[in-house]
Amino acid sequence: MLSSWRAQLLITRIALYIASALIVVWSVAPFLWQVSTSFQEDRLLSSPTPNFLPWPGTLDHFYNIFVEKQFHLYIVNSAIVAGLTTLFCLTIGGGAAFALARLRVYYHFGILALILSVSMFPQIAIVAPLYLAASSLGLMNTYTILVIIYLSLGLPLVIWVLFGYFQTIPREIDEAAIIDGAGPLRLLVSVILPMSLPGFVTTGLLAFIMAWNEFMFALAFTSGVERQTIPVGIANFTNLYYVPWGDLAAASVVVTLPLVLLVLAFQRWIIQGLTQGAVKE
Amino acid sequence: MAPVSLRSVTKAYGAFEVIHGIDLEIEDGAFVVLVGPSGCGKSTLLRMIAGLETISHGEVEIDGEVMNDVPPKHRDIAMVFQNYALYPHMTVAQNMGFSLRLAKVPAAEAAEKIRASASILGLTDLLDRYPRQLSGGQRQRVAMGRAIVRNPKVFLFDEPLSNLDAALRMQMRVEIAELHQKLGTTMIYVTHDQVEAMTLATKIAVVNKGTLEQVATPVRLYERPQNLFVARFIGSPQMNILPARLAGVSEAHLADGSVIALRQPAALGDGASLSVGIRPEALLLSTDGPLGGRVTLTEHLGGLTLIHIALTDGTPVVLQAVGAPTVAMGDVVRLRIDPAGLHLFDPDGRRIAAPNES
Repeated sequence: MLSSWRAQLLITRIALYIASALIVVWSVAPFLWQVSTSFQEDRLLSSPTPNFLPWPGTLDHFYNIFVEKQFHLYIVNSAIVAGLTTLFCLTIGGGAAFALARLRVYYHFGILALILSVSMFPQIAIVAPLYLAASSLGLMNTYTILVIIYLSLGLPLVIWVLFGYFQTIPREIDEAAIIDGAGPLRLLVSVILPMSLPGFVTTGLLAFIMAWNEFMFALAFTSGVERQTIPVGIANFTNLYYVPWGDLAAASVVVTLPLVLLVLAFQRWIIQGLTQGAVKE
Repeated sequence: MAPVSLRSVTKAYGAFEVIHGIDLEIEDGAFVVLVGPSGCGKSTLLRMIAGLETISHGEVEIDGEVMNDVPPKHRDIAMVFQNYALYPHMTVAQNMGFSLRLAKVPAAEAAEKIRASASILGLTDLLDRYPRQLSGGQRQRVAMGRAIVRNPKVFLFDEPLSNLDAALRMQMRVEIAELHQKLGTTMIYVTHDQVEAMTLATKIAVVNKGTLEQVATPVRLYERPQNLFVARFIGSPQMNILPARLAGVSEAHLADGSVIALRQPAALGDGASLSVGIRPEALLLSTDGPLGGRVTLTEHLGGLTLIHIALTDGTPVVLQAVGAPTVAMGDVVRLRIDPAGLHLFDPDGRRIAAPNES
């Protein structure tokens, strides 16, 4: 009898490992295939049986995208747009969430619902009106219009998540800081922000990824390599007669790397228990 | 160091009034404890002094200056919260120095002040730690350090010991009392624990339902409670309150028919109803006492024993005896009353003062 629960425990554990392995394979396999594709010769890519391993390998695709297709220009555009979007999302979103969570704002749940409803518009429905507005304001083919649009798409999530974070910080911390002589801005920057750093990092990453990957608005509002972002740039690779799978894969690998590195770099900030020890729970 | 005075201070949320015009004078260097049951408004009162709540009517004055419209940081006060409210991302030293940093005190001077405060509170070795690395008592000490480093005119404490366990609470109580002696600063302390109030205060203000019931020194409060509420609230175990009827001017008849002789004539007419309050330690076991009852429970506390007795009509009373008297459950006992612990209250709950009482 004694060994039966041990056996059960073992089976449970093995099942858990298998399940985890399946999830890892499920999420990583497409990316790995992409990586593999980016190193394969066109000859192999168009052969009837697909190859999983890039053998013999080649760097042609990377050479193509950077030297012939000026892919780095798209990367710079994307970095500027996504970086500015993240920056404004966090400053404006942080301020808004702080005001909603801490200041005496009437109907703050109504305001929150309104903010959330913005993100429920079908995006395809607002492209045309925005296009008209942007062109009459002379904002076509600028970073500004993209940042404005991404900001409005990213803010609801940022405000909601940060609002939740701020709500978990005990009021007494605010009051202690107020008595210590902190005004609202100082309170936000020196006390609330460091205490909700995981929230800022998480929402900042999400806003960055959203702006980095967005395709439809970028396609509609930009028209040249000097302003087009990565997704549009990659779409430009394809022409009427030919889909350069290898170049597409190489570009995807190149643009995914910064995101992976960002998440890894900020991973240590996405930790729990940062508020531990502030107050008696 | 500064006196604090409250004049007809009122707090209302819309039409709902929670503090009904409180007058309180707090002398320079006093240790005043606001005590009362939860929800009585004592914390609200403290927060109004701190400037965390607005004052609906009346005035709060600190050091001769009306503070109604002065923001907290300019009131020259410091506050210690029940749940410590430390900044978790700052070290002990940074926590204590935050207010100095905001006030742009030069770094060297600030470091010196932090060092001095830390040594008063025994925090010197913990200055580089984070709050999460400290025990409950140490955290509360840091919260106090954050207050004393600013050398404020008034310290405000909002139930600072309620989150600590019993042993630590006692130790911190002593430390707060010593701190007051060392610094001599005016302190206002809110608690619902009457033991803390009795041991710490130079003056206790008993708050109930948004009004002051009585303001007096701990001893006076215990010996001369002005009304039934204070009589019940101060003292542990509680004062025994027995309904009675006056017969003549110097006898009180209890519900069970027993008669208590009053030393002083009561200022009420013959047949008036009144409440007789007897401190547990003023009830004495005595073979020829006027009261009789049956022991229902004895609690031995070591040096003291609490004897729970049901009077002949079933009314429960508690007797506190020194040592461990030999009574057992079910024993029939007689009780007499030490006049020093006997208090009379009129039907409205107000104290009936003896003629020689000041």
